[in-house]
Amino acid sequence: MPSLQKFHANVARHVKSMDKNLTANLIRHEYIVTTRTKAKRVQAKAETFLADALHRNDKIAQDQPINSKIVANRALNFLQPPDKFEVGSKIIQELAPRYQQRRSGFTRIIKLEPRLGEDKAPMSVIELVDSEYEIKFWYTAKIVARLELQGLKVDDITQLNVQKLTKFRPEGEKEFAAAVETCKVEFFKYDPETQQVTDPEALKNLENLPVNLEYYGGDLSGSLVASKRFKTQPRPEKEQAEIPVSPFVAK
Amino acid sequence: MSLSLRLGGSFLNEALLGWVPRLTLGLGASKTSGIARDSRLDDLKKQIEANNGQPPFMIDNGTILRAAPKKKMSHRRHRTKLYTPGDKQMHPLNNIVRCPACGHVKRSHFMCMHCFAEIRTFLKGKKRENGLIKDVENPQSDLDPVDERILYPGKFVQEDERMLQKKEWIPVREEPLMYNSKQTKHIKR
Ligand SMILES: [Zn+2]
Repeated sequence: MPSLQKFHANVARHVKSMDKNLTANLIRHEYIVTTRTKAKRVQAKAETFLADALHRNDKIAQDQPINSKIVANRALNFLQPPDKFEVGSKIIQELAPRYQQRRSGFTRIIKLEPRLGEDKAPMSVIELVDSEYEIKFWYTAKIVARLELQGLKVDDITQLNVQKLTKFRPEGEKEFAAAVETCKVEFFKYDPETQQVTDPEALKNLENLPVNLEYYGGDLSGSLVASKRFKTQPRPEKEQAEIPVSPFVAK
Repeated sequence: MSLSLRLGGSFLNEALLGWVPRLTLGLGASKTSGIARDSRLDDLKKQIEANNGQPPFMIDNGTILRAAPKKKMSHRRHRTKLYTPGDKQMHPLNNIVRCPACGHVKRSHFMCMHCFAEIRTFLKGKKRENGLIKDVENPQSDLDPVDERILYPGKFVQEDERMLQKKEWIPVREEPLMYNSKQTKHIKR
């Protein structure tokens, strides 16, 4: 590993190397916490790389052993040679079935508060979507768990988020429901046997309700997703038109 | 202060003993003129009486002294703070909202750090369960205690080393307040 004085963010050779390393580590660990500049830069690289690698993997004959698949996939040459086999096999074995319905948008950036160090650098998380360790998935599950424990209905924006998160995930809705139950036990000390929250701290935390309860299953539900600026109405369903059969078409 | 330091603690004690009754007397007189007496002076009087007429070992923020700036703010610093253009001054946060997952305050469009810490710890445990994170076990963790004392007699740890081992120098994020819409500047509905 080069020492800090020899590794600069404005030397093209070093930047390329950083991109490769960050991409490999992102795929290895599913999410990484870095500074925002690095996350934004690596997002473009990782998206291009993953799209290319998965596209080439579809073209390759599937009935060959994994080693020859990795050798045949030329997109994997982007990675550092020592990472190529480990990360490449993960892409072929795990990510290819996971991203069958996606051609782009494999990553997400979440903004975090500045680092508590000397430099106060703005931080962010970059994560692979639809993974088991997706932070936004668990955060949304925690929101739904809290609302269920408070006896409120889920608001529009959370519903939209849940729909987005479970759309392309294999068995998404089932997994999300399981995650909500896990969040109840994990974060709110919910006892599934007695169906009660007994921890006094968690109970006190649950007393903090949203400001306007009308958004949570009241009169205002459905108003947040609609555009405030343009008074749009949902498009009416298309009627099935019957085209008369041409007399010139041979029967 | 420097005088009392030079002359030693006894001077301070005598000075204080002489000073407190006079002060209370004076304040008692002023009470009749309508100004309330500082309750901290009564505390100090109680402490002196309980301590056989000696002043308490520490006269700190709890009794009479309040926090004070360590140094005089320089002319430049003072003018910079008050009169520089607005973009150089510190701004209040106007984008504070309620975190829907824990009810604490957070900045809008940013992840709630309280929830993030919880979720990250949980996910690390999950990774550990699935075997993605492997903890390296110390190969000599099951040593006999007698053997261990002979093999590793331990060394004398200096005071500064012990302080460093406590890891208090690592900054820790403090727990955020619970969100209250009455306390925010712009009340959101
Ligand atoms: Zn939160």
